[in-house]
Amino acid sequence: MKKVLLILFLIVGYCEVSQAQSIIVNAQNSTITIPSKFVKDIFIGNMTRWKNNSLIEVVDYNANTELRTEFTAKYIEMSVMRVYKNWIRLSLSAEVAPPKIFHTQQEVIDFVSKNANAIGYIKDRQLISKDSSVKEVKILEK
Amino acid sequence: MLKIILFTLFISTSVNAQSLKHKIYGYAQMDWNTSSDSDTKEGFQLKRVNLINDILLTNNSRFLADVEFEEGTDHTPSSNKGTVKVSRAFYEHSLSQHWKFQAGKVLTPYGLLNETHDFSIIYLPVNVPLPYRSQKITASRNARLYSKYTTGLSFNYKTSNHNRFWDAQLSIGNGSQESDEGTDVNNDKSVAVKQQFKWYGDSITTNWGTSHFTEGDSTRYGGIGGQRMWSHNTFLGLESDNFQFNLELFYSKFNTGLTAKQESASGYSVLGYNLSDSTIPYLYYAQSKIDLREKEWNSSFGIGLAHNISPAVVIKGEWIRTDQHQNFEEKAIDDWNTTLAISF
Repeated sequence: MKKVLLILFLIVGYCEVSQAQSIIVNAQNSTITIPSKFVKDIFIGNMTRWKNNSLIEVVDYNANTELRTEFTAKYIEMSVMRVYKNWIRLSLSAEVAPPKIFHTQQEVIDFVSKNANAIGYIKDRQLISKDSSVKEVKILEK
Repeated sequence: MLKIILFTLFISTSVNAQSLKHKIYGYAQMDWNTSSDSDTKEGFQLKRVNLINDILLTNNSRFLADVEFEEGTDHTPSSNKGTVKVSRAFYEHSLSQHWKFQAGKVLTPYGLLNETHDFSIIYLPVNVPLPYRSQKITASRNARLYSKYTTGLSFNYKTSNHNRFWDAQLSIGNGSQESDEGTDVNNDKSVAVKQQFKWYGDSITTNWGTSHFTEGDSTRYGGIGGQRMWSHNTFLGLESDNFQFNLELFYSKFNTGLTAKQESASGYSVLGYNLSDSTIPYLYYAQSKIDLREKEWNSSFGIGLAHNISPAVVIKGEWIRTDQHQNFEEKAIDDWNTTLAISF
């Protein structure tokens, strides 16, 4: 019975780790929580400034990565293609520069750690603990 | 002048590379066209490559220069062939999360498509819809319903409530009207006002807005003073993961002489259905009544297919038939347009 409970516990624990994405910002950023609706606004380019009026630097992944597809489906509720086109429209209309695109989570962490106004997301929380210049921001669900 | 601007731009960015944030992004488009109209340029054309230099000066201010490399066509004036030019160059200052102003050369806030230098990678038609093209104003001159660019000041206000956004723009300056005869440089004053509402719903994004443009020009329509144009526009854009729909309507009034007035009305719509995330067949219809008093009008109908090789690369092909009804003469023109557009 103990073995069964242990296995169940491990499975549930694994699912939680593998499914949740974490929003990360630079450690200098005073933001602690962020409503999920703002997550959408930031990552489609409609919200471009932090509360102190400094420009938000969005970091994202290649369009064909699983992490981006999962994040887009969960928080943006639009296809990656639509999100991408929205960014193209905003950047070509000179509203805001397009997001930095990276391949790996470590690249995202590195960029956010060096840029005070940057925001990104990762899947593997354990990568954050290795770098104190990046912190996780709690997402307030709807 | 251009060389000086480019030289200054590159020097300034290299000198301040450590303190300024400089991003370069842009857009490239190559076309292939064929037409039953003998006056239309056919064949391959590198339509444009735009490099946008976006320099963040401080947290609240930036300088943007959009440098365009353009091949030109047989129908552009010889001075415009194969040009390198600064399409946009402006200083922008954000006063708050809601307010910002720009000073310099900006895209005139008019209509849905003029918010980007070229719409082709975002919206469905390959060529600019009929109402956006030059219209015959007098027997000898053509003009657009708006100036593509404005050199002057632009004020922007943006506010939001959850997933609803509203923004308004006012620009005041000299228009830079591009007609079939080339770019007029002696324009008088122009004023453009645009407001648009965007609602990012759970499944559909709605974009509705209106824009108004007026311009006085003592040289535009043949050198007679006191001439003025008013142009009004409303647009509706709907987009979901399954379809795209755009509709724009235009109404314009021209004072073409001391007493002569001309009114025109036009519009277009495009409907695309997403067969998959990357393949979209679409239908296009446009109509333009050049002078409401006369029986002169043009209409276009077309079908096309857009395919995204990747989110940043789109290839499109379309067939457009344009019927011209002018002076009791009717003429039908078939155009085949294809384009390869890349954003980077």
